Amino acid sequence: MKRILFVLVTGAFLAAATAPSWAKEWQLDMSHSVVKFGVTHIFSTVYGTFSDYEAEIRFDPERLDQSSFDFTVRVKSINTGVGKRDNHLRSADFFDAAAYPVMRFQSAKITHKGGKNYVVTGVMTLKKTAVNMDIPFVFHGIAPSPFNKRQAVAGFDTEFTLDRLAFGVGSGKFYDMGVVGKEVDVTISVEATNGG
Amino acid sequence: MVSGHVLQKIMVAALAVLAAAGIAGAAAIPFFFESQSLYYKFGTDKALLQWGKAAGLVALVLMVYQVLLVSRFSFLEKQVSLKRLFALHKGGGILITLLVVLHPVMILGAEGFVLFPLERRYWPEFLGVFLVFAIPGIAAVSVWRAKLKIAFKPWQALHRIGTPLVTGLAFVHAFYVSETFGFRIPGTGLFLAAAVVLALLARIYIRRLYSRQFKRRQ
Repeated sequence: MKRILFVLVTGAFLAAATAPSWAKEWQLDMSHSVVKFGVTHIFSTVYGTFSDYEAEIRFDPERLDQSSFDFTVRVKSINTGVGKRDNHLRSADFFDAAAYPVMRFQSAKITHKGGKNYVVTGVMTLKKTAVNMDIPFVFHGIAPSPFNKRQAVAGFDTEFTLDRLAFGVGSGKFYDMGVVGKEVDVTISVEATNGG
Repeated sequence: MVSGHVLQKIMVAALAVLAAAGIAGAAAIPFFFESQSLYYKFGTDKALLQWGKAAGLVALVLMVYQVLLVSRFSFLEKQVSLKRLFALHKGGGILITLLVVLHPVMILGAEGFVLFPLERRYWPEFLGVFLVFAIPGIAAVSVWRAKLKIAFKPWQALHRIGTPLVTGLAFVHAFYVSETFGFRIPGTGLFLAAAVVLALLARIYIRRLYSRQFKRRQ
């Protein structure tokens, strides 16, 4: 019995010692993060946000091979400030939120481009379409939280452009009419915490 | 000189013409004063949205007429008869119910039945949802009162509270749910209709108050 126990305990220690040390997992601070977009309407730009999203963030600038981003946005939470327009955007004319409730980005690789600049390569899935994308982002660094010294805070910012028609968000009817642009500028600003 | 009898007939005819014009005017609003939501609809979806809005507006106008029909105007009772006024009120209630049910089905149909999320900003839409249940509820209880074994007095008391309430809420819903009433003509029309309802209700309540006092004195 003692021998079995010894083998089990030793095995557990060895397993722990040889296991890969994963990059830190960060929790999204929803109060200080935003998923924003802008799209042209004839001449002006209509801005909106998605308020319901979640992210699995594993990030360590020293262990990029073990770092990853998995971002899921619930399209139903779209808000451009006009209720009827938002419901139209949820309809089959655009997002078809009932059939495709989420859009998702899953990273495959993160590359350091120098300084605070990185590029995350991964798959963006929106409606039926999955597209490989390189998304540049800025990693602002890690700092102890001014409110809780045991907690670390990390900051990320990204801006990129999506062709909504490539993802089937709209048939192109409104684009052909010169009403709604096809290029959507996406801005994501994330504050994430660890520990505490 | 025009006799009183002829004058009353002219008044009833004028009221009938006005009523028809009111219905036609309400039904025409979504076609002549397009809200922005209509800009983005084409073909069947546009037709559904326009006719769905028209159904709601006609129901609102009919609700105004319901108040007129129960206002106990003596010239109406003499010329049309109380029995016919009652039949019109009952028929009107059934027609309102049909239109009130049709209204959201057509409007949501135009949007592929995408439901509004539970957010505070959609309160006019949710007020509409309440009315979709409340108005047919009131109509059903009125039509099947005897089958439901509801005594006349409690039903009457509830009907006298419920119907002005849903009429008022229907005006609030119509005004806030769409930007249509930001246009001068439909906006003025809506306020005039609301003023007519308020005046008629005030007249009804004042008459009831006087008749109660008169009964007490006797």
